[in-house]
Amino acid sequence: MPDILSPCAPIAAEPCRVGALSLAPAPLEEMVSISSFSNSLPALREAVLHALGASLPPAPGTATRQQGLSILWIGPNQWLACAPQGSGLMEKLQVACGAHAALTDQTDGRVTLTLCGPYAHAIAAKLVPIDLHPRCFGLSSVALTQAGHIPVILMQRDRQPAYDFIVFRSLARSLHHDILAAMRGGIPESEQN
Amino acid sequence: MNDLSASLPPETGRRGKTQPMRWARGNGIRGDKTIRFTFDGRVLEAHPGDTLASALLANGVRLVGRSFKYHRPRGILSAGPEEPNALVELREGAQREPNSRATVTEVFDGLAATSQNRWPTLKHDMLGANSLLAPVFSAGFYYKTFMWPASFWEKVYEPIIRRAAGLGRAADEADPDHYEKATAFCDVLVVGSGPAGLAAARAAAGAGARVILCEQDSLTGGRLRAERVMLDDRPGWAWAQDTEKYLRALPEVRIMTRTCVFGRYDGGCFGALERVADHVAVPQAGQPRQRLWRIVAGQCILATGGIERPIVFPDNDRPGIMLAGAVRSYVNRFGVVPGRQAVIYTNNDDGLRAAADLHDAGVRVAAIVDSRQPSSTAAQAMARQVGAALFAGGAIAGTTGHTGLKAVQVRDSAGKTRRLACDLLAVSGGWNPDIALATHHRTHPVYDDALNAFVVSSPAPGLHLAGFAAGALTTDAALAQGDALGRAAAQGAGSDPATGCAMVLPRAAEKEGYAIAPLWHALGRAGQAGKAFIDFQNDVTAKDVSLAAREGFWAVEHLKRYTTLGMATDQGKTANVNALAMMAWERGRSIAQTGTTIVRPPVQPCAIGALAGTHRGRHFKPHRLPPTHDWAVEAGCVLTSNGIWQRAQWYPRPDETSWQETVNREVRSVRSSVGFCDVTTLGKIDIQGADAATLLERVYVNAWRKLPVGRARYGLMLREDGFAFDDGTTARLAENHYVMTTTTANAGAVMRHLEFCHQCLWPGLDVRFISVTDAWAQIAVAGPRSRDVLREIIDESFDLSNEAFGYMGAANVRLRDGVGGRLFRLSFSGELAYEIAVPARYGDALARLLMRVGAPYGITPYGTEALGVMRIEKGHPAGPELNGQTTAHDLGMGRMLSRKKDFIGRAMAQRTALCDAARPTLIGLKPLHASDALVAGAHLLPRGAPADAASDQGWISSSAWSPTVESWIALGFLSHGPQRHGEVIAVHNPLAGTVIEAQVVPPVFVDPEGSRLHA
Repeated sequence: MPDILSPCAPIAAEPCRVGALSLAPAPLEEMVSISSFSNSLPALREAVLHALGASLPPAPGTATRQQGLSILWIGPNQWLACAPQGSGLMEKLQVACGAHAALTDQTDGRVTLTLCGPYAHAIAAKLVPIDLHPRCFGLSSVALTQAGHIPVILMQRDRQPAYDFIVFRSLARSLHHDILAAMRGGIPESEQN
Repeated sequence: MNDLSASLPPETGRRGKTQPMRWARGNGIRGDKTIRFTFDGRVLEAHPGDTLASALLANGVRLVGRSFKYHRPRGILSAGPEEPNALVELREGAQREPNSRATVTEVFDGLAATSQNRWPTLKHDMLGANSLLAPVFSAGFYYKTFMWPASFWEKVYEPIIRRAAGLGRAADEADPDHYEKATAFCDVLVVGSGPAGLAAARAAAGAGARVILCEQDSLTGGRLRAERVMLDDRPGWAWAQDTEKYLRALPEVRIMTRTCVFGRYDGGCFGALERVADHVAVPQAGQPRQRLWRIVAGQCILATGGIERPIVFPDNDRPGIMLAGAVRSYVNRFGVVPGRQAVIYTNNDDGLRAAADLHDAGVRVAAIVDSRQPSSTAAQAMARQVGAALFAGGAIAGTTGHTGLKAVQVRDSAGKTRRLACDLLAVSGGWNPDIALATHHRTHPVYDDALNAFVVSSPAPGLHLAGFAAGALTTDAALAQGDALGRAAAQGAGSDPATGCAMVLPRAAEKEGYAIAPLWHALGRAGQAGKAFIDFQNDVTAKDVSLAAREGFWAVEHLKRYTTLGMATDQGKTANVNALAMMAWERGRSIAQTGTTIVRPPVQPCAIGALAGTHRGRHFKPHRLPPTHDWAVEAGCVLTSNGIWQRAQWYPRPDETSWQETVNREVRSVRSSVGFCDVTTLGKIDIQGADAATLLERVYVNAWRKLPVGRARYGLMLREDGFAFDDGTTARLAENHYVMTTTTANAGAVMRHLEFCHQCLWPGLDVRFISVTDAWAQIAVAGPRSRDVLREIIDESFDLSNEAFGYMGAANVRLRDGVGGRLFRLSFSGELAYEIAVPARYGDALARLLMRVGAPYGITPYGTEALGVMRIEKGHPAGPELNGQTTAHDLGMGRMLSRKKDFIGRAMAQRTALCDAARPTLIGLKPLHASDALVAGAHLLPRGAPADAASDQGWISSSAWSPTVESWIALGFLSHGPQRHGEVIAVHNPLAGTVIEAQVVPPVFVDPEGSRLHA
């Protein structure tokens, strides 16, 4: 009977709550980075649409999201596809577009921390130096930015609002601490005019 | 006129015992509630809305502090952030905060304030004797006086001077409060909420812009709260209140009170400090004391108003001498009269307002001293209105009253002097527009002769000045200007002009006048008896400025440094223009010719804690944790920082008494049996594409095209300048798929380098790469029994034999329970060794599994220290060798440089100096006596040579006690090193002053043939 390796997450699954705000790691998702090879973009777009039923986001700073699947823009000709565990995301992509793009498994490389609750944008504004006004950063907007000293991919998950902070796994605990500290610091009075 | 010299009137019965100087409610006070605070231990009462200054004045406290240099008794000069005198210590213990301005400190129930810079008490300050030594303490005194003997400066003079001078005491303990940072964005940032600021915010918001209105005060309204201006038949402050309410209801407007915009930076970026919980006894749990804002604004309107100037005359610093505008603020906003019998001293019509306000508050105004000759009709009318004597063309020639003003000497236009009893002297030397923020981008102010002040005539793009900051003299003008600029700024920031909804501006009921005539020194010259202060905070007098002029320090920047004018917490806000005018007069030049200094951020003091935010202590920098972190901590490891990575340094056992003992054990275990170490921290870069091999060929010095799939190779990268940059192994996983490893320290730098190469140098290469450092838990399993341990873990179908999976092999493997991983046969220790990589989520479990299946072999986890010892034993270069100053040749890798291809650094590596055979080159060192410690950084000299720079032939880069060799060993760089194997040289450690003898040896101490490696 071989020993079974049990997976271990850097952040406990139970959400941390401060008032009506909550911070929790998203369930582990399959993540694959997609980076198109030279002159392959049209073919790649078609292949992804065919394989996943979803298109690569048309513009920088956006994500395509449907039925548990999200594809985030993460750089020029570069995307991050995320799907629930057991989706066989890598296998599907490899079959469909292995020739058009470099595909790299990032499932274990990133951790997603979700911040949600009323005034979540005011908490996020303590961490990221970008404009989170709905006109600038709305539902499914994506930004590559810094949360304090920590590089993150930020996506607005929900209009509520809720934000996904996608971070390198090794930095997840530091980021979790920093977001929690920002939550404990409260909503600035000027937000609540 | 006889009654003028009478003594002060007695306290009238209508004033109660507490807060005897509170005459009315005041528009900014909640008079229905009483709170208590202490000043120097004395319990006093105040109302919510009071500042510490207004509360002290309400209680008849005039003496608040002692001055910096002469320990002169000082009171409250102003009612705002410009305050130079009334600096106190707030709170106690770890929260003690020195040099807090009483004029901006909001009183809360239980506030403890203490005067500072006095001993033993405020009233009886022994160091007041400093004043008697005033001739010694003139400008530049310590540069002149304490020059000899030089050695006395640090030990004797400086400590004495520091005790005598200086202000408050910082807390001795770490600040227990929280601070945080946040970012806000807007189309239009309005700084200041007086009439101009409110009108600007209203207009910009009405035009559809996102607006942030920052007010450093706790209330909006600015001067509308200090003055009795009527707007459309309502008090100005009521209009301000309504406008604020209106603005707060708009979704795109953010009003930030208690928020000081302290600096303007590049790209429309402003720094602001919000005092979140300074006005409460204890912040709520988690709540920050202060919050540092970065505000990014498309356009900015500065409606910062003005700062009133004091007048320079002998003994102008006594408690009870106050700016006329501040007097009005205390009377109207706080309902406090700062004295019972007042004299007004002004050079402009605005100062006259104090007479009316005091008179209506029941204060007797004995005289108006108007420096203008003839005085204005407004002055004559005011004197009649309040029943005061008018001294047109008069001056204050001196004052009396040691710890509080008792009388002034008025010199009339005929030169005759008389004494007037008074306990309040309201002075106005005119107003300076507050333009500090506008000068932060090196915009030089220009002198406006009509206004008698410096203004900014051409502000930086996107910046607009409104209201008195722009020289608007009346409330109506400020409102109109704010309104117009608010609308324009909204359009400048991209709002549609059509959306602008017209709003009616209120109109001021009275005509307001200024009619200033310059007055820079009451008596026209500096050389009079008595100290005529220009800079109260730094005790700089008119004489000091004259002295600076005589001694050649007349340039404004020299004047500042020589006299300390304009330094410290108030940055000379009330002093600078008077000083420049004095210097201009001394030099016979105009103020415009004399010029002015510009200011740097912050415009108000800003605590370092606020700048640090949450990044302090353990959270100063983020930590990166490898996947086995929790297990390693459980196993009792000692952690060390490797950049921001936290790694296990060693794993002590309970019976071990020193780290050396632990590390020796870990090394012996690996060399004799098996050990493992988390090496996840090494950078891992996934490289794919048809041109992947081409990229590797160009960034590494050695050849890559022929590397077969399933093999790894050591590679060395150079910088463009030919020096070694980084090293590591790269494995070929498939035809067009490689995984590169870098050193832990350079992981980010190598990624950046590759991005630069691809994006800028060779965008045509069809190659893609991305970091997978965090995706894989990579663990080195090393030692003669490592294969046995792996056999227990890796699926049986994988052949681990040396023949099937030899040194530098690389393969995708499956663990026995089905988890997919990668296996590399790499060795940093020189032993038979593997690196096994599994998805990071399994790293913790893998460590536990290795401990279990390795137990029969005595497996031991080892940390970075043992890792370091073993790589030195094996002669592998690492950070200390790849220090940015060594070449491939220096590292003994000159032959790796391919001659068949081009690569980064190739041409520059061939520079003559870099090819000099005499360059220090990698060698090993062994002391003649095994226990002689070799220390990294030690210098290598020929045996018997003097320990001087001329004899220096190299250095030690890394050293360790080797439990394998049972001796100290070292790696180092020695001139002509490889030819000197066997030679005995001297190792000089200048820090310890020791010289020991060591033998030069090849830099591989263990298994030089590599038989263990290939076993």
